[in-house]
Amino acid sequence: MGKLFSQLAGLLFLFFGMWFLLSQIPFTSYYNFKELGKRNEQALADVMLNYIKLNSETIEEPYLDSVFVVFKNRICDSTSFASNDLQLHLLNSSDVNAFALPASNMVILSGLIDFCETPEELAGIMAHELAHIEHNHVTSRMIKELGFTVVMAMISGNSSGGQTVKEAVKMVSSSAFDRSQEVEADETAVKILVNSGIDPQHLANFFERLAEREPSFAKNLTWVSTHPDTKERAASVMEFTKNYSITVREVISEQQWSNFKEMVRKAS
Amino acid sequence: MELPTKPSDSEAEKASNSYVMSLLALMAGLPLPIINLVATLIFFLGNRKSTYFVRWHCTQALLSQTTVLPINSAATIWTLTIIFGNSEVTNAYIAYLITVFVFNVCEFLATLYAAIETRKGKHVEWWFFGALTNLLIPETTSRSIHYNR
Repeated sequence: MGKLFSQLAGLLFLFFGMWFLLSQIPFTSYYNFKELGKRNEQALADVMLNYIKLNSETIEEPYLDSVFVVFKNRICDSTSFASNDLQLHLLNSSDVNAFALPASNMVILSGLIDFCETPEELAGIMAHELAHIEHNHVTSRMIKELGFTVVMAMISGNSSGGQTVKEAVKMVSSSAFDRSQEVEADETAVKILVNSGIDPQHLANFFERLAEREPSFAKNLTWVSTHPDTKERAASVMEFTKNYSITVREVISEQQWSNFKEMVRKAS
Repeated sequence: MELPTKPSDSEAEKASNSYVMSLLALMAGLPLPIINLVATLIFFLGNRKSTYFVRWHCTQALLSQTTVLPINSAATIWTLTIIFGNSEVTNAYIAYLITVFVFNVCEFLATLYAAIETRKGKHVEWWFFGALTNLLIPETTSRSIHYNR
């Protein structure tokens, strides 16, 4: 019996000792696994953006871009995210929707801007989508739902025609994340907003207005269908906010906001 | 440990097959670490009323496969959480994969060696698993009648 235990101890010592010693080798610094991920994510985003731009009208106006830079700087400053890394794409659509794509890309539909009453509401939605990007929800969800091989085939251009890309775009723009991911994104969005000097109350207001108007606008309010329990979430946003004290600063002036909205409306 | 008598040719073949079985199943079902265990278990159950020599080696093969199962399963689950979850590739993960690989290769070579040696009628006892098998299959429970070739 003693021999048995000493041999077992020897075996365990060998296994864990080898594991421990090998762990001291800095393998990850020899090969940058995050960069490998980023390269693939960029390729994936390019494939999806190409599809989106082929099938939707992109709005490109220097004035709108300059206003978006203000929004981006404001919400990115309080995160580890470099403002320049976040790529915004404005599409012409009456749908009230915004969604994140891999490699720090965010798509905003003109219908969403039209629906927002204040710049802070738009900043709130952007903060929510930025939170999805920060937590890498988009890519992990795509791999989970489409499968790793399919995603890699999309990147390498070996997917069957444009069907897979179409499905992937449809998935990220019109179906919900896991409930836990939505809660995590809301919580992070509140933190981003507070640190950016924006009252999360505006995000809660946006949710409430959406929930109230849902019956008559349901078919265009994609953001509602992709983000369920809107009223409940408005309440939880306010609950998260209780943990912080906020010094509020204006995002853009009222005049700039109405010019911005007008410009989006004209471009649509 | 010395065997009282040399096993017969059919005993040696059956004992050797218990190792061959786990090797073949390992190669066939490499991504699923449970397949080789199931194959060895089926072979073990099929031979549990066989002679001492055969039962002893079936048990040693089964015990080694049972030990490898949680180690390989942990590697598979860890990999899946990296691919589908939020885990990242870390030094500990790569070190674990290398350790598991080395242990699997050692186990593979030991199984191959045991399959060859037992086929010759030689008794091969592994480190730890041999001692454990001796504990589980005491010689007094032998049901075999040994014949000299």
